[in-house]
Amino acid sequence: MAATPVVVKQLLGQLITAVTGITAEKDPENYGLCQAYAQRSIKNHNYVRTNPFEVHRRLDELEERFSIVCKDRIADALHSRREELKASNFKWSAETLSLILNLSWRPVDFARLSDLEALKPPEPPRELTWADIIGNEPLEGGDIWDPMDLENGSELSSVYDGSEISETEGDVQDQMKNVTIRKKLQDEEEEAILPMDYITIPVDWSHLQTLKGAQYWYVPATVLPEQIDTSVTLDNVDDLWLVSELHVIRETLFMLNCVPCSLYEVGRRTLSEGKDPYIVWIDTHKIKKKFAMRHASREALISILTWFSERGTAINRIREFVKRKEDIPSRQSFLAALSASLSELNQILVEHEATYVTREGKAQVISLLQLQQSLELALQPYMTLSSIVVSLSKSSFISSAHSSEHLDLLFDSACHLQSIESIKSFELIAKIFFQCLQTYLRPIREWMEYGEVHAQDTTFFIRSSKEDDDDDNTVTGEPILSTIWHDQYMLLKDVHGNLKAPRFVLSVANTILTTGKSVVFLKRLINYETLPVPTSGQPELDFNTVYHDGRSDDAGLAPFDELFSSAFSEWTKKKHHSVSSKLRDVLFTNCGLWKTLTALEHIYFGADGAQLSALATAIFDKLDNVSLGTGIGKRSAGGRSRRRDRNNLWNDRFLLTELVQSVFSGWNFLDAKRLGVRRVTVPDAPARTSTYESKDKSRSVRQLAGIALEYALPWPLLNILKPSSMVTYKVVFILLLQLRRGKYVVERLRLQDGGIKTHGTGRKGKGILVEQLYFHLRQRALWFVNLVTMYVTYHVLKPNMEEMTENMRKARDVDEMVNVHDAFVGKITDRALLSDRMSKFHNAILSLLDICVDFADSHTKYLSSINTLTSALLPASSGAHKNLRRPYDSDSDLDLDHHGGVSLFPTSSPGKPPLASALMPPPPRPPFHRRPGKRPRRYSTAPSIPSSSSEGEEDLETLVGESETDNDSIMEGIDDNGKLKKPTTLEELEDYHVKRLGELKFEWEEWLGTLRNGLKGVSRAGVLPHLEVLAEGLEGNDGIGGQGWE
Amino acid sequence: MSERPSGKQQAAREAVDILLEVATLLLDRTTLPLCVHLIENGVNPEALASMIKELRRESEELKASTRAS
Repeated sequence: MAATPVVVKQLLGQLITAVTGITAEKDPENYGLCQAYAQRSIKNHNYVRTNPFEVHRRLDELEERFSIVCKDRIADALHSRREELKASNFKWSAETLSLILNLSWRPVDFARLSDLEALKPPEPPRELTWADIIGNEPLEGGDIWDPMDLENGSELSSVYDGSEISETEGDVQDQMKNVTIRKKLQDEEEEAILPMDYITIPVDWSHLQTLKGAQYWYVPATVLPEQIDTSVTLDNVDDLWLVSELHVIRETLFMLNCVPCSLYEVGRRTLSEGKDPYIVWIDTHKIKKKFAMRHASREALISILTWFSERGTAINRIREFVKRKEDIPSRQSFLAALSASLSELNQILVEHEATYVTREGKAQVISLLQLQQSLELALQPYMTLSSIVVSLSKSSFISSAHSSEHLDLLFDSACHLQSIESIKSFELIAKIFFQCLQTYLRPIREWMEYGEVHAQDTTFFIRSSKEDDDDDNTVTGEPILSTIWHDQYMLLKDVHGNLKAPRFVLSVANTILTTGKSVVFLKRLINYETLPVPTSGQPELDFNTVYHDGRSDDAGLAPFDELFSSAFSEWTKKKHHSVSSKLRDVLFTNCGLWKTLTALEHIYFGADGAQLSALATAIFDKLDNVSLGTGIGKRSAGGRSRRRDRNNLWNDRFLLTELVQSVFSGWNFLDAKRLGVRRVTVPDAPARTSTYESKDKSRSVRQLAGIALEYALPWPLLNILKPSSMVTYKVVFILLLQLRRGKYVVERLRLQDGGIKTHGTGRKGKGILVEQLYFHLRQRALWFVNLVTMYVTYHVLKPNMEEMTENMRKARDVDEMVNVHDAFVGKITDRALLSDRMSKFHNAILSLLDICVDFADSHTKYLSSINTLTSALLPASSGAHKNLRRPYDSDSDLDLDHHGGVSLFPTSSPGKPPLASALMPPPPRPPFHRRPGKRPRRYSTAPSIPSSSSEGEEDLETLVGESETDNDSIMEGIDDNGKLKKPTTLEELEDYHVKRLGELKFEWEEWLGTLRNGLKGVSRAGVLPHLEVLAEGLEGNDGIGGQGWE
Repeated sequence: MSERPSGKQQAAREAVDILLEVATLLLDRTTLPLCVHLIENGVNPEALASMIKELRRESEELKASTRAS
């Protein structure tokens, strides 16, 4: 056996005593025999394990037999007990029933229902209560508080009067005294009966009987089966208490008023949430057992009671929720609105109750179904409210002070109820919502009208940054004015980036923020004291305004969220519009936004070409003077430090500042004193590698990026034209300067008068070659620079500037202005190839401009060398020196393209062909493609690809090839130590120059091809379609004809 | 509603109450709780029933013989 034998032995002993009456003490012998027999019989037996189905079959048979012998009630009672037992899930029920069946002796004959009475527990002795005590000895009246009469024989008196000295004598005396006292007390009791006690008031016992009868829960009523519904009688429960419908209605109304009652139970343990003290439920077991209505089935009664209990649960939860204590005004409003709605409900319940109580002389139909129907509409909203309350209890609403979840839930519920045409519920929920909203709008209104935020208001979604961080600017308590618009106030967001505000606010949150910021801005700008927004006449956001006034009769189906969004948006817009328009006026007029934009256009975009030209020429002159001072491309050990010193001069910030201020002075829209120049570090960029000689970086156009032109803006405008976007202005200025530099050096280049013909006696072929290469490179350089300048000015800066100005004019508020300006800056950064992703194109342009400079330097050096050689060969010749000029001499009569300055909208034709370019054949495609930056191989290695170019082009190629063939290789110009040899004769000089120019030519083609193909690729990919304009321009002409854009 | 004692003990007590009612319907009130305990300890109910019957019979005989003597 599985159980402990000791336990079984003890149990068997008790069983033997119970069955036989034999105990171990009185009859140990028989007891021992019985014990031994019992143990043996339960150990050694032939019975199989109990079959539950068999047991139930036997019991079923038994029930049937009861029915056959007309003992239906016993059969039903047995059946109902079996059902209950089944419901109790008792593990050993089958075994126990089997035991009972085996022990039973002819139950069909001897079983009696009345035997169950014997099972009722005896009445417990009545407990002593205070009522009994006070009933016997009233606490009031009498002399119970009088001092104790010790002399008259109290028990205590005998202790202190020394009477115990003589024990026997004292005992006798005490006994006698006690007898006397008892008699005296009896007399006093008889005397204490008041005359009132003898007054009898006649009682109408019929009222008492009525009252007792009404207390159905005390009086068990014997119900005959035919008196009640057949479904009830089927259960055959014999102790039903019949209740009237009025009683059920009363209980129901009690329950809805949260008064304890008999039919409904409050609080129970649920599987999902543990103990729930507020749930109202129906104990179906109890109802089935105890209560029945005369004319209703139990299922109907339970169904209707369950319906009411669900409503009761909802009301209970709301009642409990409103007991909370909240410090946040918005939530207090919510609780207040809930309380008000509960009061309304109470009023409705009271009115219903009154109809049943005061029905004197009137016929009143008492119907639970009627009550259900009349209360259904009134109770429906509370189901919704209850679900809201439950959601809030489960969410972070309780713990988080920032949460305004109740507004979200109310709003969603209102929208839902309206959409399902549950208008009564919708109206109640919407009214509660608007009550909460009024409180919620208070800080918003204050912010939009006065620009004030209260730190203690945790539900407001706008925060001052100085509350959150400890920046330097907040140490003094004063924000930085230049970023006051962007940094001082911000929207409060959670870790996921969602705004901590109700959902219906999200669409207007930015408008609200902007309006308040505008007020703060205005306060600082114009010492703003009076409200620009008259508070009177402002539309109020309440239920009637939004729902009834907001919709026309035709728009009865207009969704609530649409109506509300429209009304809310209108509410914010009115405030926003008046404040923003005022701020915009102040910015345009008082702060000079237009003037500043014009000034920026002139300073950075070269709107006035003459000014930019004057500035550029002055800077380039300084730059060239420095270079000339050291000798272009020459290095000497002693001259290095000197060069460095001089090199610093061209970008000396004081001199440049003075220069810039003088150039831009005289305009009424800009204040030249605000201008300044500072030096910045030139960013490292992949520069092209030169082939012939090490590149002199100081001559590169990239050096121009080492200066930054500054224009100090007033602080209000810095909030719109952000300092970060000013970087783009500076970069554009540098690009224009670099383009101008490329043009400057090439334009001032001269093919010496009479040039090659003068010196190239006997070597006419080389002279022509130099001339052709010179014009080829010069023409292409000018064409390219003009093309890119044209693109940047005409296609990027001008249209975008106009668009930005127009959009700025239309902008409704500062945020929109900022966005317009940011968009403008982004556009020109991308389109002028200045963004990071366009850096390869930008680098290609700069490399091409560097080639221009290299070309100019090489040719100048060549001319200089020729002059030196000529003067050495022909000392007496007077014409040589005459033809020697300083490079980039501005007095040149061959300055074909020179004009006063390239304005933002240049008047000269871009890509105008140089005079000699007509003689030039179209340039050939490079015989092989080389990646930029790589040193090309020897020209003679060019594969013999049939060229599609014209004859002239082929001639040029042939000539270059010949010159290389003559000299074998470029390396001829390099001595044994790997250093460049100085050409000593004119022939060598010309050879050297032809090679140099040829190298530059191919390098040019490489870079140009790269730029063109890259631009085409990007524009065709659809990433930046506007680049196609530049790509087509570069493709449309390889340098001849000056085509491009019209 | 008054708080009911919960747990296994309460469930067992309720089951015994119901069984008592069943037993009362079928036979006289006896030592049912003892029998239930024994069954819970694995005793075969039929063996137990036959044992009880035998004990009763023996007891009756013993009483009868005692009375006769």
